[in-house]
This record gives sequence, structure tokens and C-alpha cells, in this order.
Amino acid sequence: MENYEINQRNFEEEFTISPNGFLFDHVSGLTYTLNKTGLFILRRIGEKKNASEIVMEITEKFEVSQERANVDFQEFLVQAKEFGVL
Amino acid sequence: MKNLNVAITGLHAADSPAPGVPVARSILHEGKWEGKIIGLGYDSFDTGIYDKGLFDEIYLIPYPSEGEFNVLARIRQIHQKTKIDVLIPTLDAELNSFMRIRPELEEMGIKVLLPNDSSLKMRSKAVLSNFCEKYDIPFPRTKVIFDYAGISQAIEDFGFPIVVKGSFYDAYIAYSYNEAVIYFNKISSVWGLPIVVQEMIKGEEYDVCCLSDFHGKVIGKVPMRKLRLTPKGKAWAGVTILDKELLELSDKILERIHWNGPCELEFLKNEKNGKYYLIEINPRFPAWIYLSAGAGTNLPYTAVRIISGEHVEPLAPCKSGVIFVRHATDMICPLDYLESLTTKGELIFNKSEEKEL
Amino acid sequence: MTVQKEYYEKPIIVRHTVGLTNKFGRNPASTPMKMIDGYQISKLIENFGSPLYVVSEATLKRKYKDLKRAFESRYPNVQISYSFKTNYLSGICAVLQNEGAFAEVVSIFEYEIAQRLNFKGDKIIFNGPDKSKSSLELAVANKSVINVDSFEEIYLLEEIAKERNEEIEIGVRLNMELNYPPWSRFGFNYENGQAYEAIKRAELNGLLKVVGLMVHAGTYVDDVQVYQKMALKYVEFYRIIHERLGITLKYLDIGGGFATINTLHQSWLPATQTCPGFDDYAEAICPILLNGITQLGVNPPKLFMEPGRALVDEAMHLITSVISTKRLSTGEKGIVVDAGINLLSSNQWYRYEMQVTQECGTMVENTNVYGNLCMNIDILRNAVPLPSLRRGDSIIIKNVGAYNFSQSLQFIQFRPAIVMIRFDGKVELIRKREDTNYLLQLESVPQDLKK
Repeated sequence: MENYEINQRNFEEEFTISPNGFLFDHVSGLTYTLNKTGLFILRRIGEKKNASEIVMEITEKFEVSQERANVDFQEFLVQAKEFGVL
Repeated sequence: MKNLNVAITGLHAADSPAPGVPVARSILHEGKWEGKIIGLGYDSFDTGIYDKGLFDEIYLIPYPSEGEFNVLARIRQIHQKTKIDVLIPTLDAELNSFMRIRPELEEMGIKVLLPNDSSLKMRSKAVLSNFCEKYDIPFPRTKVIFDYAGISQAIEDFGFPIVVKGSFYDAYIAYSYNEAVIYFNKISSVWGLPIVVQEMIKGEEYDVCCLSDFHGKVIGKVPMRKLRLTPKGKAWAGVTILDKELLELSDKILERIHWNGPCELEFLKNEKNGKYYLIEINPRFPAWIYLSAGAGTNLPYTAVRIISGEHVEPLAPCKSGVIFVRHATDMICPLDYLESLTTKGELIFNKSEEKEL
Repeated sequence: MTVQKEYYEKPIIVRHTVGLTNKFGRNPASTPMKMIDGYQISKLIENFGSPLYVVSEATLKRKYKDLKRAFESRYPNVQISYSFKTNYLSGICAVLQNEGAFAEVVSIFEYEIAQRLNFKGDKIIFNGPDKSKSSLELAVANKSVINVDSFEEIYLLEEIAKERNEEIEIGVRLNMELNYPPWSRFGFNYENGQAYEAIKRAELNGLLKVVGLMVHAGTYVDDVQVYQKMALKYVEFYRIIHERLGITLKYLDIGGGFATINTLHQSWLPATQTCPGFDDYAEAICPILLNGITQLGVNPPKLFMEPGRALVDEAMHLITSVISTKRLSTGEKGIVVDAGINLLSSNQWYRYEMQVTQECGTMVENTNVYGNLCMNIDILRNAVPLPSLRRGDSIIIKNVGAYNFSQSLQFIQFRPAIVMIRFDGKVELIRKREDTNYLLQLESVPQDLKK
């Protein structure tokens, strides 16, 4: 699986992420809500994990096939990049 | 009574302020309140939400345009968490929903004081002129219109300027056909059709806030002359007055319409003949209602007394010559507030441990 | 040790904007509607394909009975006659026929549908602006109720009366100022005296006898005062023609036009809060008619009513499946579904309620719902708060019974199958999905061009 290309942000400094899925971007001042799986992915991106690791972890934790998890993961990345979060 | 939990809607006190914040302030005006004051907001940025001095708990509820069943489901959810004893809606557009879910609310033990269906219909902007005509109450000539052709007709009948109004909110004065068309579009794009067009009456503006009990008896009245208006025509300063003619006219209107609960009668004193013309009946407290507390006739507080079942005799006339001046202020809020509102739809103020900002 | 895995939701991130639909409070669009009348929607699609129109016999019956009760409890002699044009699917017409409805038709095509369903001639009301001489001959021979729309029709009927050597009973369609803008193109105007003249003219030669009046207030009239006005004017007009022309009516026809729970684009509040109930309409009409007519010293004539929308709108739904999902360059979310505006013409008036039919998570985003026609205008609705959907998921577009099927067309795509969930819970196909043979059966290619 190819790895993803993103602007790796400094999660520690630039984001406040709450366990409820609230995200505050200290650079842009914008706020977001993530659902449970979205939050799960974002945290792992913050931990600098690669795409296959993340997808693997999703399938381990949630009831979902690898194909579907992968497609959704890619779509999530596109969305987050568009918002300028990644 | 002061141990009741009172939920109040309409928390956005912005350029066209909703009355929820002043209603809460009025209730708290009469000494320590033991129960909770619960704010029901529609958007995370409804300004009153962030006023921890007034509210104990805040919950977001769905817009009435999403249907009353969703509103009811959400209130049921909130009620399970925090018992609501009394609910005071303060926005025009909510009333239909709350009236429709009233039996369910009462079954849950949530008490409300709402107008009945027929009086609410009678006061609607589209048919108020019929009511006035029937009872010989002076009012500006009115047309209910659905398209531009209606504008032309109104101009022909009334001349310029004309007042263009939405059926819930918004009113503009138009001095030309083109201007009227712009306002028609502006209002209808937000609040839909029909649009109400009225002849323009020139004169001083007066408002009377009234409160009637469950039997339609008028319990309190606060008449006010507007001292300063915003460009949108909202009162930004006003003074209580004492004019028997105005008070008697208000009594007559409320008796004829069999009103229950709070309402605001808006009048213009026609400079041509000195008569009071009824412009609108707003089926709720006005945004300047805190003035009633200042003038010794605290209507929101009295409303809670009535709703809680207390027998309340008509109040003595309010003090005249009491002035209100509205001013905007900024509150400083931690990020946690927004986090809680956007993820949980609620904000519980912990008043004992104030967080350092 | 096996660990129980958590329920999976498609990952989503939503940016906060002021006025963001607050998700607190059940959002109707994300709460799945899994069944219609107790029947699994997923099974319907499995068996009959997608898209699919689904008719509820139970709703049709309930609506009919409710309307009948509302009026019959306030007026002694009421006959509902179903406006075929609203939805002339034979299955639907047959359900209402079995409930006791007459057929209200406005063309020879609709007249023939009624005949095929074995409506007796005197249970067909023939209205409309386009009645040919042959169709009038048919209606006269069958003793159908005929409401004339124009002077030309009066002349045609006189010819027929002469040829048949018999007097023909007719009704006269009126138009009157009831709301704005008035519908003055149908029938004869009440206010300017044209209606009175038409009745005088119709009776002039002793060939026609006026026994009924018909008025149609409009469509989706959610103000009962309009019907009050109609009733008042009816009484006044009856008084005039009774006193001056000695006419005694057999029927008054109040048309249709009742609103339903579908919300118009121009309305801010949902129609569930603004749409009057059948009792409200009946209360606006019946007491005024009954009192007024009794004061004339005549028996109350039969009250015909011609509802369409009020009976069928809520009795039919359109189920459609997601083909693809889009993120537009504007940042908006879009989905493409397998039904287009060729199946949903009334979406130009209505903000149709849409709901998912399976669990898709609870986080919603405003989503534009596009049809499958290769046309930019093919938008079923903009900004529906929907959860994240994927290909194959389906949504239900609710209460589409009025006009959508009868105005549907084959355009780029076939028209779908239509099933009826019967009162007893069984499902029956009442119209097959179209195919190429069906569509091309009337066409021919000039011989010399054939390959």
C-alpha cells in the first residue's frame, strides 16, 4: 500500500484535540468535529504512522473489511487536506 | 417557587436580540433563585449561551423548521438529564412547535403558558387587520402578497412609502417599487411567503408588554415609549410611561383576542389624528422586558409564578419614567465551552470551581 | 481471546460554520427508515430493483376514510371523486374505487382508464378544458357528470342534445376571486356576471339543464379561509340562480386543492405545522353551505369533492440508491442517486423529505442530492442533512404520490417498477419496469434507412 502525502503538522503545538472529537487548529483558528473513526485516524497520523499501519489498526479495532477501511481512509485524507488540517 | 428549574429559549442577543437573556435576568432579579436556569439554544454561537452569570446549564435544540417531533425528542432527552419544571419559549417561529407538543410536555411535567391556537392565528401579521376591523381598532391598511404584482397593487392603494414585512420577522420601509422588490426578495428568501405590506403611518412608536394568565385575565402591563432606535427599528433605549388611553386599548385588544401568556403590542401614535394604531402583536416577551423588572412589574418573574400554579392578582401599574439603555458587551470564554457545545450539544457551568482563564 | 470489535462508521471531519445544522436532537434524515407498512425496504430493492416507487394501500385507505369522515360528519350527502390526473396508476385508482370513490377525469385518456376499471358511467365526472365532441357523446351516453368549461362546450352539448333528441343535464364550472392570483382561465367568472350569463345561455334553448356547479379553489391551498369564501360565494350564487332562473341544483362540486404535509420551498416552517387537517377544511366549508342553502328553502344538493393530492401524496414513496459520492469544488458534498427529476417533477415545488433506509452513522453533512440524468439541472434537492453514504446505500424520498408518476417520463433512463404494499402486508407489482421494447414499440424507421 502506498503511503500518503500530507503536510505533516506539529500536532502537539498546533492542535487541541478533545476525546469527544473536537478539534481546534491554533494556526487557522478554525474548529472541527470528528466522529469516532475520524478521531482514531487523525491521532494515528499525529503519531506519524503510515497508511497500512493505520488501516490495519482500523480493521483490528472496528468491524470493517480492509478494502472498505482503505477506501474510507483515503477519502478522509482528501477531506482533511481540503480543510487544510493536513 | 424559586426552586423550580426554568428553561428559556431565544438566547441570541445580537443586533436583533432575542428575549431569552432578558427573561432570565428578570427572573433572577427578584433575589436568589434556588432552581436552575436552563438555556435552550439553537447554535453554538447564540450569544447568551456563554453568560454563565445567568444560566446554569445550556442545551442545543433543533430548529423548529426541522419539525416539532425532533424538538420534542431532544427536550425529552434533556428532561431526563435535568428535570425541567417550566419552559418559556421566547421566539415567534417556535410557538407553533411548542403549541403542538404542549400535551406531551405537560405529560412529562413541563409546564408552559402559551397562547391558544385561535388567538395565535388572529394575531398573525397576515390576518391581524381582519381582527382590528372587526373590533374597531385603528390599524394601518394591510395587504398579504405572494408576488411582485401584489407590490404594485399595494403601492397603488397606499402610496409611498410602504412597509414590507415578513410573516415572522423583518420589516423595511420602501420608498420605491424597486426598493420594495428588493425587500420582498430579501425577506422571502429567509422567511418564505407570504409577505405583508402595510401603509406607512407616521408617528411616535409605543410598545406595551402584557402578560395574561391561563384564563385570559390581564395580570400585568408595561407601556414604553421608544427613545432610541437602531437602523433596523429595534428599541435600543426606552422609557416606561403611563397613558390610560394606551392601557385601556391594550386591555380591550387582549380581551377580544383571548390571549394567554406574554405578548408585546406595538403601536404608532398617528401624528395626524393622535390615535394609537396597532401595528403588530408579538406573541412573546419583547427583548426590552428587563425594563419591567426595573419598573417594579416584573413580568417574566410573574409568568413563572403563574405557570407554577400560584394564584396571581393583577399587578399594580408599573412605575413610569424608568429608562432602559441597551449596550453590547464582550464576554471572554474558554475553548472548553465551544468544545462541549459542538461535541455534546450542552454546556454545564460549574459555578463553584470557576476556571482560571 | 477474541475481542469484540467496535461498530464501524465511515471516518468524517466536519468544519464548524455558524448555522451548522446542530446535530443535537434527532435528525430525521440520518434516522433510518427501514420499513414501509412493516415491509423491509432493503428486501423491496432486492426483489424489484432500484429505483422503485412504493405505494401504500393502507395509507390510501386511511386518507380516504379520514376525508370521508370529516365531511360526512358535517354534511348529509357527500361524494368523493378521485382526481385521476394526480396519479392515474390503475392500482391506485382501483383502491380508491373500492373505497367508494368516483372518478374525476379531464381527458378521454383518463376517461378510458376509468372505463377499463369498470367505473359505471354515472360515477365518472368529466371535467377539463379539452372535451372533444366524440368524448362528450360518450359521456352523455354513459350518463356521466359533465362540468362545462366554455361556451363552445355548451354549443357542442346542444348539438348532441338535438341529435339524441333528449335534454342533457350539465354542471357549470365557475371561477371566482378566492385567493391571489385568481384562477380565471377555467370555467366562467362569478364576479363579472359571466357565470350567470353562461347558465342563462345554457338553458335558453331547453336542450340543456343546469343541475350542478363546480369550483376549484387552486392547488395546495393551506388557508381554509379560501374555502370559507368559496362556500359563501356558492351560497350567494345559488340564491341568485334559484330566485331568478328557478334552478334547483343536484350537486355542488367544491373541487380539490387541499394541502399535504409536504413542505413548499417558500415555506420556512415544515408543512406538518402549517397544513390544515381534513376536519379544518370540512369545518370551513360545510356549515356555511348547509346553513346558507337551508335558508333558501331547498334541500342541500350532493357535495362532490375532487381531491387528488390530499389522497395520494402521502401514499407513495420513491426509493433510490447511491451511485457515487462527490466533493464539489465549492467544498459542498454531493451524491448521485439512480433516480432523476424525470421521476420527481414536483421537486420544483416541494422540499421533499429524504431519509436513509439503513444505518449510516449519525454525523450529518449538508448534501446535494443529484439525479442520474446526464443533465446539470437534475438536482433532486440541495443541502439535505444526510450522513455519509456509500455506493449501494439507499434513501427514501417520501410522500411523492401526487403528480410525480403521472408527470414522469422516460428520459435517458427507463421509468422504474412500481409496487404496492397491500393492506394485508403482501407486496404486488402494479407496474413493470420499462424496457427498450416497450419504449420503441410505437416507432418505425423509414424502410430505406434501415441497415
